[in-house]
Amino acid sequence: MSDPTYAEHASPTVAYPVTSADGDNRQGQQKPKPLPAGKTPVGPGIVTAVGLTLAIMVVALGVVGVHDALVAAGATGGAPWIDSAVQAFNEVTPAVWLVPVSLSLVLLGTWLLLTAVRPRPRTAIALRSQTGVFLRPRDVAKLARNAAQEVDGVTSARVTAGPRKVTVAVQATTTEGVRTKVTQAVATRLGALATAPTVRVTVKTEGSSS
Amino acid sequence: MSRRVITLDRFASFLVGLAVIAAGVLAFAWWLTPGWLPRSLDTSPVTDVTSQKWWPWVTGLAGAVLVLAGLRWLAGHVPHSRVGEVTLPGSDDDGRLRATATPVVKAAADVLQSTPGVRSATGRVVRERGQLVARLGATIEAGADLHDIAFAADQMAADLARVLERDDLRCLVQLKVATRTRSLPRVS
Repeated sequence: MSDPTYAEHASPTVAYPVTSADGDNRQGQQKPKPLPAGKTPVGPGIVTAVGLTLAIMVVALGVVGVHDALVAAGATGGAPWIDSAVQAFNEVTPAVWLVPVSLSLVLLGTWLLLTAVRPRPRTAIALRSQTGVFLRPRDVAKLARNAAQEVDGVTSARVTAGPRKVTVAVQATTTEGVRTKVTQAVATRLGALATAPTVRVTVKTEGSSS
Repeated sequence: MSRRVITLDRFASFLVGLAVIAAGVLAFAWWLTPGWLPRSLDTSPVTDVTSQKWWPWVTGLAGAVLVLAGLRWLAGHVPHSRVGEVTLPGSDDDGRLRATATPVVKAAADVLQSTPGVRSATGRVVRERGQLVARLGATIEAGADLHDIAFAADQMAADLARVLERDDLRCLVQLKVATRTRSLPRVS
């Protein structure tokens, strides 16, 4: 990789040769360490969906307030929504329906509390590297499937992959030695993962019943 | 999505959760009808308030504020964390050295793309979960050698460290395996 490749794109406000703050020319010096890894990618999580829902509810509540103000000003017809909603509860007495309602509210509230503190799901598997290089589990499965299909005798392969375990189900012309070869091929292909997954292989010969 | 929005989502979820639990407990207590709770609901104190002259002003103003706040909260969920320029070391009172960071990372992505087994790569600088991150995405072949790609990513990240000289910059390379397989050249 040549230096100008990056220097051409840097477009600093004032063009200087690449030098350190104290003026030392860096060329010929030892290469610096790679940038440290960013945080492991995470998915949005349920809390994001809850946040979006609550944000929409806040907007809806605001619309209700503005509507009632417009009704009072005579700018729009109809009855104020807040009054109508409040009056619907007038002279309501406790009844047995309160039991399932209160139970549902407690369950919903507990779920919201747990959602608020639950960490967002990790969506990536790290590679062994000095900087941050990540694969999604489905991509680990694709790599493992490709490795399994390259083994002699294998006609097709299905793979499911998680952060710690890869399960490979292959169809082969023979069962002899195929399991070992597929296990080795998959383990080798995934050897760069930071945490080596457990590889589980099942072999079926073509025509055998499942 | 910024860390602030995630924190707000969590805080709101927690508060609403507490309020909903309290409402549930109160509803159950009402069903048990202890002496300190009324036998039936009387909404006249509320309707007395809503019939005041100042009430429409309050609802109108509060409604407008809630609409704006809700829309701001919604907009916070849209990812827009791209970073334009970064300040380089050597900046002082006499002048500041600034570089448009994303083209530099795009150039790094081009270099990563030249690695055998990498079909395509893109890059940009983003602010993510409180960090300044050079975020690269690369599509690799199903038969690619992960050791080679990890090594190439380290080299690329070392070059980025040298060019941008930012101690707070992090690097994240997200690999995706191409759906359609393309055969790779073999070395015997």
